[in-house]
Amino acid sequence: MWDIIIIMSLGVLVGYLIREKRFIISKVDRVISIAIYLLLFILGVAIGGDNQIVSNLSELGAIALLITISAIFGSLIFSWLLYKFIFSKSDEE
Amino acid sequence: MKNSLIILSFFSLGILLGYNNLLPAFLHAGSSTKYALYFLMFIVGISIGADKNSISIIKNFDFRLLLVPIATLIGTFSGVAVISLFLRDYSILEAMAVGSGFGYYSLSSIIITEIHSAELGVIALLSNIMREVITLLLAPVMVLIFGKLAPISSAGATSMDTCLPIIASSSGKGYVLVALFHGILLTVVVPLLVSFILSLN
Repeated sequence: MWDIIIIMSLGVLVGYLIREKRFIISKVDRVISIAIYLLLFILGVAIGGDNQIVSNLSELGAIALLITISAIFGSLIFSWLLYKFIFSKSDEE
Repeated sequence: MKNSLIILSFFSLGILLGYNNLLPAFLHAGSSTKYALYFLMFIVGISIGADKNSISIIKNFDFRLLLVPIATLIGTFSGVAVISLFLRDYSILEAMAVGSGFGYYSLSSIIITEIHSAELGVIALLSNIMREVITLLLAPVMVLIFGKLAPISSAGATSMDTCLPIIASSSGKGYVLVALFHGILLTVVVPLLVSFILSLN
């Protein structure tokens, strides 16, 4: 865990220091996209080569849906409480 | 949306090639992907540090703004904790690691695959894509039932980019700043939370 946190914080520091170098910064998002494409491609390869995962793909999808629905529903409840007790008052002003 | 389709095509192409054994063995996980993940985390950090939006939001900080991502965090974790009681094969922490992707499917699934397993990585990828898609489809209904913060909370980290247009049209322009702050904060928090939760497992 610490390796990821330290590397990312280093990145934030470097990014802050070079924030005026527009040419470099403009390329950063592109490089992020390419790195993500590449890593998800590799994730795909690992999954495709794993028969256990391939044969259970629909079950994994169902579990994903359950987790998503409960995560969204929980978020909706708490954001509703926050809206009702704090935000809606300034909305009416 | 276009970006999501490109990502899904790369992912599917990988599955096809891996399934048919068309690739050399060194691509099957291993230390090379670990360094690729480190590189990705480093440049994600750079983009956050150099982002003018994140700097201006820190300067115009308002205490109420912070309550929205906190509500999303508490809500997501309580929802996922409840459902994990019904999931036989996955622990509460594994389910929470998936939930703490907050819609940021690319990064969360990559990290989960690297430090846990490809199986949980797939669940994280699917679940967090669903979070984005469900929010895009249901945002107007969410506002009617749960109020104007609802689609922001539901969008998770994607409230700053993919879901921002639908939030602006269903909650109103006054909520764009809230959505931006919410999305930026969760985007920063995702990699930290995912790896922290899995380190407890």
